Amino acid sequence: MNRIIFILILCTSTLAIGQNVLIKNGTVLTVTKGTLAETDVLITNGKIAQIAKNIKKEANYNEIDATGLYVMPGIIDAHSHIALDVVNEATSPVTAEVNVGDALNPLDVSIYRALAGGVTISHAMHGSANAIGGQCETIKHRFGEINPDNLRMQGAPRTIKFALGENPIRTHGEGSKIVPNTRMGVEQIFRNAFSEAKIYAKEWDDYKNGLRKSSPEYNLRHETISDILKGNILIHCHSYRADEILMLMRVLKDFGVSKVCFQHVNEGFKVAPELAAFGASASVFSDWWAYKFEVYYSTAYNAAILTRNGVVTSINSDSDELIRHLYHEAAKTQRYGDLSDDEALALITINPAKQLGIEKMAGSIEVGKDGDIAIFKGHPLSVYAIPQMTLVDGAIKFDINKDPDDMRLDINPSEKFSSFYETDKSQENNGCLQDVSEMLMQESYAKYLRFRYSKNHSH
Amino acid sequence: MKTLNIFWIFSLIFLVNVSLLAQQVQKAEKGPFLLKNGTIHTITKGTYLGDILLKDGIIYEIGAVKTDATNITVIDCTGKHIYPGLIDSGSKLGLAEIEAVSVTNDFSEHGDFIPHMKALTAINPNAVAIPVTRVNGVTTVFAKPEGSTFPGTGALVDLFGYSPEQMTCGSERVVMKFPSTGRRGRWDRRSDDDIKKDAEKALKNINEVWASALAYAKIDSAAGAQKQTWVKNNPQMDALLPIVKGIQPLFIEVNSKADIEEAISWVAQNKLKAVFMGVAEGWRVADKIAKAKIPVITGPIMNTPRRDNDRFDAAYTNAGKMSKAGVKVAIRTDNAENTRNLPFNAGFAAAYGMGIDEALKAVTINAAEIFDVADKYGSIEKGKIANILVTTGDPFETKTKIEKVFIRGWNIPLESRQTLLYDEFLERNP
Amino acid sequence: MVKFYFRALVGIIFLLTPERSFLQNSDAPKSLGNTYFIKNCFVVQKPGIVLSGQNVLIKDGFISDICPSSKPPFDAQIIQADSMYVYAGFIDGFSNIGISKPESKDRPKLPDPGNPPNDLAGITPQNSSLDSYKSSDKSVSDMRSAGFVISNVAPRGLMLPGQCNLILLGDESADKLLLKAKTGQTFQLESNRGIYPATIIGVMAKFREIYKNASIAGNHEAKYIANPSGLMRPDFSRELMAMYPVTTQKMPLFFVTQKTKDVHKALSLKEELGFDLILTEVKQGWHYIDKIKKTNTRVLLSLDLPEIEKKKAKSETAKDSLSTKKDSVSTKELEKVEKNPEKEAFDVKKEQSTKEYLSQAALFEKQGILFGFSFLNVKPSDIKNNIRTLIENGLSEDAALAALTTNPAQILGINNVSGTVEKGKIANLIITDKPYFNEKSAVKYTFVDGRKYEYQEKKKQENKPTEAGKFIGTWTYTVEVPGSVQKGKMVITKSAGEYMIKVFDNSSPGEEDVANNISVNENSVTFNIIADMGQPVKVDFDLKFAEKAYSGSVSVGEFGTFPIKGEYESEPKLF
Repeated sequence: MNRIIFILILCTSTLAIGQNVLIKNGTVLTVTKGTLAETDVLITNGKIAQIAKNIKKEANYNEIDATGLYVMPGIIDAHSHIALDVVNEATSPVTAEVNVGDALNPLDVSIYRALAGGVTISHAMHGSANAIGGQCETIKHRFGEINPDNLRMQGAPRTIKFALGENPIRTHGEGSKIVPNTRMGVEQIFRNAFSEAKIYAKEWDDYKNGLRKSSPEYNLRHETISDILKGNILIHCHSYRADEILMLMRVLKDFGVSKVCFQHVNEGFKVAPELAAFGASASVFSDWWAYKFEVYYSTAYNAAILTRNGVVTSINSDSDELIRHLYHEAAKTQRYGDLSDDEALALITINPAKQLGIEKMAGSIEVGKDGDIAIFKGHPLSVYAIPQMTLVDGAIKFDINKDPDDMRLDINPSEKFSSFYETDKSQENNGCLQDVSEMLMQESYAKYLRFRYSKNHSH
Repeated sequence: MKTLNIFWIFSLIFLVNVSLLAQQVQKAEKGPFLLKNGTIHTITKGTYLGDILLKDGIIYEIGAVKTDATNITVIDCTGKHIYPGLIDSGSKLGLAEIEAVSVTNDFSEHGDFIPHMKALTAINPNAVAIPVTRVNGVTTVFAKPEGSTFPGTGALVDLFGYSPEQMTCGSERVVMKFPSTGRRGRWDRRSDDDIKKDAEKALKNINEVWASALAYAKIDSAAGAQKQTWVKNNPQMDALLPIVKGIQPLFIEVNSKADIEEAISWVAQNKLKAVFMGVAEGWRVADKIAKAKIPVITGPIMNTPRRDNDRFDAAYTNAGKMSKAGVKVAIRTDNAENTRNLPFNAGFAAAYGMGIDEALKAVTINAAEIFDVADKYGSIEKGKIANILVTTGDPFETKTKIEKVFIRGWNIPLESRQTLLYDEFLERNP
Repeated sequence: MVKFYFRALVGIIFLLTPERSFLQNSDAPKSLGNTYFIKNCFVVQKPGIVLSGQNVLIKDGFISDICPSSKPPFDAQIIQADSMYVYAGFIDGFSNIGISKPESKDRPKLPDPGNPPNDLAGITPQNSSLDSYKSSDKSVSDMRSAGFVISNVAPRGLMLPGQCNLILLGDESADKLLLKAKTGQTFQLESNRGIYPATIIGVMAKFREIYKNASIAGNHEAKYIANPSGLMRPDFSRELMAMYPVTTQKMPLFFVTQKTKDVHKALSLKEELGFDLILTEVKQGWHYIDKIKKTNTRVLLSLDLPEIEKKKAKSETAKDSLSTKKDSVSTKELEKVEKNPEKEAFDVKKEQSTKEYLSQAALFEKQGILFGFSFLNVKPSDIKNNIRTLIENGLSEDAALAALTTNPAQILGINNVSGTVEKGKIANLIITDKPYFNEKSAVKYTFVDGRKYEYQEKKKQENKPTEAGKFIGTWTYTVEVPGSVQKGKMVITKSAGEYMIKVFDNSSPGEEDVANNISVNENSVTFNIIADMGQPVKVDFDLKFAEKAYSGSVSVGEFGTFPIKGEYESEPKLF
């Protein structure tokens, strides 16, 4: 907890105060309050101060002419792994104590590329190798900052990654020959971890209340999980199959946890009524499927079915490629399920904001929210839409008209010339299973060489 | 009471009927079909309002069609748009069912020189992804093997049929991977020199293969000229014969700038007909590709830049830049299960500099020309195969609905496992 | 055969430890005592203070006198040092000098990689560099000949490898040469892949946990000692006990932080937990210079510098030479040279980046931050050149000297005994023939603890394989593969005109692989071996040999190609 407080202090003290900017005369897609034609948006000190027609520009404001352009809230990705040096601490089925916030990489050029797709906030997540993975970090795409702390979104609640199904099973059951090797095992991992944390919390309570003289051992893993049980950390759970989704909701109910966002949740559509009843939210792919067996029975209509059943739904990327066109991914719900413009836009703005617990600060164009804005030529749900400008806290972080070719922040002085990569980075990184390959390999190829395991998606 | 009973029984029968109907499998209908009064985007002959008669699997008539025949199903296309079916020029559709389950994958055989491995043999006509793909307007794909220098022979197939014979478009093409001087991934820490050396070695191997292929072709020709029966078993070399003899182009996967340049001179040196695939850095050498008159199949368009210092839109703009330089460009998804995203890939290419008309060509007539099937595919012209879409608008737009898909004149049900799951679960009972 | 190997072995020992063997050989002349009189020299007493025409008297290991007019005592050995310079011996702020690299072992197979024993997890703060330090290690004499007299030696290992000790770089045992024990704990963001903690996020979490528990255990132990009644017996874990002084800030933490993100982690963690931080091996710390200054954090900068590209002159001249004889050159070649604006833009950025690295020390000087140097990744023979590079990039000579002498003395708390040339201090000196920072200066003598080491113009008489059979011998190899480094030995022999190569990998002791298809060219050797990885896999080696080292690549079928390098070790022997 000390650490979190420290971070908050640090953020307030080191970050430049937000910018003043007036965005003139655009078609404003507020997402939550309808579409406003020929409207201005005023951002003062990095926050949205006024939304109205014909706002007068004051002296110390920059002006952006958005005539003929669409102005929408900065896009939010509820599941990504950009800006991270490490994704998986894949060595144990439970690693609640690790925090990808310790591996933030503000120098990742993927942040800029995401900005070029209108994305201003992403949820930098631990991977899915473990049933209880590490804590995640909600970051703002303040590209250009060198200090990792300046990426952290001040006021965003703590989140943690859980994972069900094939990934933890492959990593630990098949890889290390330990539980879980089945979905039965995955359930017991949770029940055991939660119960242990409760015992741990009681030991400390007893100590603090004088019922026990000696201090218990400090255990960051139990400490973190007991914070989950207290409701201080939001669970984001990698999941695919309907049965495992129901399983986790049963376990959470038994332990009195009410907040959960299911990630990927390809079979969420099968249990949409149960998700809605539990109050769970869902963050899905627009159309990914069939890359492994547990996503074979998927449908691109997932987001539409979930939305129609009253589940707060978002569309995420899980990829440094896809994060660049989430507006297009959201648009696919208009082909697959006829969502309205506002419903489709909500999937990448206010809904992921709710899932990350930052809906009071981001996710729509409303007075008082952060000045995170994406400006498009063409309606953002059109396949021909082109992001023109992206603002974070009112600061222009991407401008297609002032876009230098080479946006690397950290230049390796010993590199002769940039390398050409045959595979794109997202493919190679294996998304959710990044860093796990090492683990899986120790089995078969220990003798000589260790290499990247698979080129397939393993999300 | 009596009447009530009857009514009750009546409604029961009705219910039974409905459920029977629901369980019935939708099948494709044969036609003939008359598409009345739609906006016809012919691709090659302009866009105009008119009718199309689909009969015997082909575009039988086009324009203002007058007919009294009673067996024709008339489909009113007023306010609708009619396009030729879209062609994905590079995919693994039908060859890969579930990527992570290796036994369901049939695109990579053992061996480095195996051009005789025929994709057409392994394409599963009942792959679950095929209906998923065609309901988005993709009617034809080039399914190709990969994984080695000469991984096999790809096949252009229509996405309807129950056997290879029913699906094939008659165009099978040998593919080759050009030796790469790029890095295979972030883990690839070979020195620049080593990379170059490896590529040179690989090219040397290819040249050796090529020398044998030439020799083989000479013997083959001699055997033909002397009317000799040549008893032989060399399927690899047989597969290369049409290329060595200049009948067919070789489809070469090549991506980085340096490799493209090298491949251009290799093709010229060997006086080959060639098509380049991938061509990720085509934009860096577009003029050279145009000058060499080598057509290009590029994609996926939605891709990250391949170098850290590239602009964010390097992959988006690649197709447009090559097309502007005068290269004949077709687009591929290079995917299996999501080959359905071909129209969106084309849409992005269009938005980022290619323009809608050129992007449309890149997924229709250009592809047909590259595969030497432009007499049958790629545009709406009389006599061509009836691969036709009826839409509510631009097929690249996500909002547009694809309302009818005809493949070889068959009216394909717009149903896939994904739509069936939607129907079942939108309002789940219980 | 036996004889042959014996000879090889003797050869190695002799070559590795020239000084030692000289001292211990019974037929060598006896020492004449340890009183030295350095006559008529310049004394660079401390940065900025140079005294000329001085005589320095060394006796009983101390600087017993510095005076322009004194006479040598009768028993003094006189060193005629006209126009030579006496400096305080240099102090290495942090390194692994004297600690040999552990043989890379195959990763142990654990029943539960998530719960390994502490030593495998890299948690060994109870270890001391004294246990593994060997004054006979070549790195010690190399460092000494570069002018270094004291090293702050850290043990090798992973996240918490153990305690550092200040050791005088003489040739006696570590216990005899220990200047100051337990100068700090070491923390590195390094881990054993595949074993918890396997990544930096695991390492950070584990460190927090250990730190908190050390603090809890320390308090508990104190309570227990005061009054054990009703208290649980303390858990005397050696790991935690070794960490107590860190949690009470009695012992600093040397946090190895090469890149900017590491520096950030160290500063954040210090603020979070409150230990006494010494930023170590800093390569890219300039982003946090304000914070470092504000928090008075002590710093050890890395001397592992990026190479400076030879200026574009080369391409310019190439272009010129092309244009002068345009006719003879094809236009294609001309194009290649003339236009590559992308490469030019790339080079501009690279140059800027290099400049930032090279001017870091100057920037720290300007901000008045106390810094020394650490030597984890630099060869002793490169040290002077690298410091000169820093000077060319704005560092003053005085600050450079301070970073080699007074600053590390202060940082390590030994400024009362070393770091300057002053009466009463330990006789840790170096004598150079010209001012040290002069390009052509050479270290003539190093005094460590009053003991003299003399250096002649070195004629390299190192183990050089003969030209005739230049490939023949035992060679080390190191293959870098993602996530691990494979090491071993390779023995090349030739009999009856046929080469034979055997490969011994450290991961499988007692096993050998015999090479097939050996092909030898002027400077290169290629061969392959069939490795058993469940199924046979062909491993192709392609090696390019320089004088006594080679580099090249290893291709392992479809798995990729990886760099390999190695050095000549000895004549052929088997393992």
